[in-house]
Amino acid sequence: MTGIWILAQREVLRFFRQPSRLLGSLVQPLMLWFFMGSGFADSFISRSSELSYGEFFYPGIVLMLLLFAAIFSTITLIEDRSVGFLQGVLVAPVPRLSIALGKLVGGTLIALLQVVVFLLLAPVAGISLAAEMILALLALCALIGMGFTGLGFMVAWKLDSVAGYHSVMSVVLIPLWFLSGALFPIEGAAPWLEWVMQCNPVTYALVVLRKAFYLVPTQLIADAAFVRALLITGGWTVLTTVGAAWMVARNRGP
Amino acid sequence: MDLQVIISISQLSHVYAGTRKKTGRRALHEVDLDIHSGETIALLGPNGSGKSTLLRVLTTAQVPTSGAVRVGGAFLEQDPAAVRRQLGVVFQNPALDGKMTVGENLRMAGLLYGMRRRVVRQRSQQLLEAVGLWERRNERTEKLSGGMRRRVELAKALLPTPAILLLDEPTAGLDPVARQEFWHQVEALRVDEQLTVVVSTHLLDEAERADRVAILHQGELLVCGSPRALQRQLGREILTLRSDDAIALQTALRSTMGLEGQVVDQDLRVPLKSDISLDKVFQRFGSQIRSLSLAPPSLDDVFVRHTGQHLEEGSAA
Repeated sequence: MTGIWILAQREVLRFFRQPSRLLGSLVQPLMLWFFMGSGFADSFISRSSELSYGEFFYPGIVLMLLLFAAIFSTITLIEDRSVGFLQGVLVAPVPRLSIALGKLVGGTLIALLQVVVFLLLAPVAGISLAAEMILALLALCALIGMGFTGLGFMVAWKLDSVAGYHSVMSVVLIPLWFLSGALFPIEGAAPWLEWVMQCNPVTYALVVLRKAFYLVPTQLIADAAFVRALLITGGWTVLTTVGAAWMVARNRGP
Repeated sequence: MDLQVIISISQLSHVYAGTRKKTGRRALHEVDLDIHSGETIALLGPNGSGKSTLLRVLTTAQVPTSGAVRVGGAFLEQDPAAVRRQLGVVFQNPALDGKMTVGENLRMAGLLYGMRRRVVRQRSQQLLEAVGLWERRNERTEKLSGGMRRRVELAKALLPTPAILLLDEPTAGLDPVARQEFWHQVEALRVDEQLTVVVSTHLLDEAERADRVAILHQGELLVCGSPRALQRQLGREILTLRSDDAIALQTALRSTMGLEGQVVDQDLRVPLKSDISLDKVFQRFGSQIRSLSLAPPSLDDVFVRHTGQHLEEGSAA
């Protein structure tokens, strides 16, 4: 346990020691939300509700935050390996599992910090959150963030260059996000695309988030669609976490 | 010297798996080596000789293809964690986090080794003072010079009081002054901490500091012994004659004076067991000799004797 915590602490410390990364991770989602929200303000018409695009897009931005935080914190795995830091950790008498989990927990913590900052803007989007809803949201974000970080970890563990990671990021990771219903509602998409989106596990993470922005925890548990989406999201997180841990355990050398 | 064996390596072989495009590469072949408690042993060889692979196996970072390694009482294959606990490692590549301070790097390493916070604090101070960096404990390691970073790594490696210190080409990229200083501190710490030191190097002067040198070439352990003993086996001095036709000179020297030489490149190298008259050599063969030198044998000569190549050239093999 201590191993996980020490390595997670390092991730968070590094995040705060890189001012450009810190700034970018806070400003980029804000900019995207603000400009897209303003750009689509009048052309966006939702079939199912009266939502403004800014409000519709808000949970999607939170999801993106989680994805990007996961990407940036697992990309450091490649740096750790190339500078030799990872080698130093691998020869320490730490369970291999802690090495994977340390990265995952650290990455998730960074994501949560960003979410907290972004949640302060919920009223601006027209969403009012009660205290228990915020707590539920954070817990759900932790679950989703862990899933993304696990996925990023598996990608980074296999690659030896940051450039390689960038290409996987643009053709795999980012599409997972924009085909989740974060940018446009799934109901309005072409039928084939709707089918693709239904197969995307990240779609269910978005369902989880969207519901959690409007329902209090007791209502959430009673909502069948939410529970189904939560189960899928939980399963995905377990899968990627186990996958990441398995990769470290299997491959002793960096 | 107490000859208790602390690391025992037997029949160790390693082949790097090939890919579709590349065939596998034999990195170590049936290496047998016992390392004694308290000694400094240098693994000497050119690039690609297998010394780094051997060290990587010892660190548990590389699982060997076959063979057994015992460190202390633990077998590497069965209990790598027990092996890791006895080791302090300084890698060829820096293993520090540049965004963290000297003190933070040490603290993290100590906690990862399961040390108590108080002990980590005390040990950090003690070791940073020993390597002369206590005043710089609050600086980020990315701001330090290469030599200082190596010394931080040394302190970090020794934090959990390991019995064995493994150094993989630790002075690569350092200037001669920083290199001197690094070795000075390793030596002082070795005595204070009663360490066994295993260092891989391709530098002769570093190998000569060691109690014993194990010379590796193409994955095989050629010879192991104290630098002095290895050199003495070659005789008192080495006579090197440069000639346009070294092979003819070799034959001539053998038949007329009974001197057995070895041709390496254009040089004829003759180990001398006793005094000979250089005048005589010069009188008879002066016309064939372009230059002549006489020097006590070095570890490079030992390497040449076994491989027919100089240490630097061996890296091409």
